[in-house]
Amino acid sequence: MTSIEKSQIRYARLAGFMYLFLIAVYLLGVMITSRFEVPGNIAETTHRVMEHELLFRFGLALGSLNALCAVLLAVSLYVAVRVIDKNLALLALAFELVYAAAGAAANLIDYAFLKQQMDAYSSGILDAKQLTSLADLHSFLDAAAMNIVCILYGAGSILFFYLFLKAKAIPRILAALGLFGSVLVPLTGFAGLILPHPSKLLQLGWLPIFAAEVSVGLWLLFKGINLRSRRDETLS
Amino acid sequence: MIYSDNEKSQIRYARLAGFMYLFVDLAYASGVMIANRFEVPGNFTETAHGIMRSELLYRIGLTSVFIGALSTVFLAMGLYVTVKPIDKNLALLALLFRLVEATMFGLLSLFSFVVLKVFIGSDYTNALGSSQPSVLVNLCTAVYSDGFLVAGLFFLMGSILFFYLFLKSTYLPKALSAFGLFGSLLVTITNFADLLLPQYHKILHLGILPLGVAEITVGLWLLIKGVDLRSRENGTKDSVAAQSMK
Repeated sequence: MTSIEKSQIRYARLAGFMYLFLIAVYLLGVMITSRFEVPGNIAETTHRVMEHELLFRFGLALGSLNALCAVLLAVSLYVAVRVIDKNLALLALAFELVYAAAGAAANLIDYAFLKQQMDAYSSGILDAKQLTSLADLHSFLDAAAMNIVCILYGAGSILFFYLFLKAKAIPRILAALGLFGSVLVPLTGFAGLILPHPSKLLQLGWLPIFAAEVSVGLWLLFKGINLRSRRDETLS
Repeated sequence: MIYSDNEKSQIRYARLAGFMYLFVDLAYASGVMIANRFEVPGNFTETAHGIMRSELLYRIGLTSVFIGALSTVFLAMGLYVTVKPIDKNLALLALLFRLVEATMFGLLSLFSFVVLKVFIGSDYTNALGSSQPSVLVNLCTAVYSDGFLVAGLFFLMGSILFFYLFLKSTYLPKALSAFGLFGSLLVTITNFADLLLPQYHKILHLGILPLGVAEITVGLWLLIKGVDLRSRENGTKDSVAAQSMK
């Protein structure tokens, strides 16, 4: 095995770990922040946040960590698949970097609204209706940001899974599931942006990519990537 | 003429870049045209009613602008692979400028969705009174339009570099590359001027015309004719021959 191949396998394992780590970080962040939500009662929600501000901020910080680690995932996937098609791998990396930057900026919105909401609540400068409007605007902005960053993420993910499929670097069924799931992600995102009242069923669009990322993550972490089929192809 | 695999890929990416030039321009232009159709200058209520009547169309307009931003990544990649053999570092620099541009334009489209929310949310009028929502809309519109100018500067740096590399390469007719370079430099000047002197926005905005024409022409050229690799090859042979003569 050449040193390039060794490094390729190392980065593939790192990518596997990052897939699982990112999912865990994302879910933990959502679990923490959603614990504070009291549906339809913004005053109570803000009160809860102010009582345990540190924990809430920790939940938001996990969002920032997610964006940061997305760069590590993107670079490790890039190194793992670069030999298959350098230009397509670079295009995928470019999309994932744009996704990470947009994700970090969208995370800033949460911090800004948190500060604004707590200030307005404690100083009484906004009445209940105004506070509700502010929270409503925040959740609308959050949803739009989520759709936008997911479209960017999906574009990069499509390319990475396509390269895995092309090179038979992981079992074809896993790569195909990942590709299918990745195609659904931007479609779900666009539907969320365009449709004035998107159905809750759209959320199901995330399931295939979730299943694919967990399985591919585990596969890459424990089994690495298959370089033999690529080598055979080159020899023939 | 027999092309190597790298050259074939270069030609394919050049055609992709040509198509994406046209697609990106179309996506931006149609998105802005749709959104502008709803605007009733100085009348928040009338604009809001228009948007509420055809919210789906308005959303399609906003999404179209976002698709333009997203497609910039494909365009930048197509241009990068095309001109990489001329100067790898400058090509990478141009690619990075255009990636920052795509990120900024993608984020700016968020503000247009905020404006939409304020327009369609009747609760804002209840909570903030009848005049205050328009202040919020004006604020977001100002962020959006100034953001467009700032993000535009990243676009222009990338565009200048790509057209400079085309001019250096002879992949395209020299006149076309020079026209693109001139257009990019002109918009850089008008963009800065627009940031400093917003009262002349309407006149300064006309500065985009030469670049618009250049992008469409170069887009069509790359899509239909591709890039001329022979002249580069001849150029390389000539320079090798000249060196051996010395």
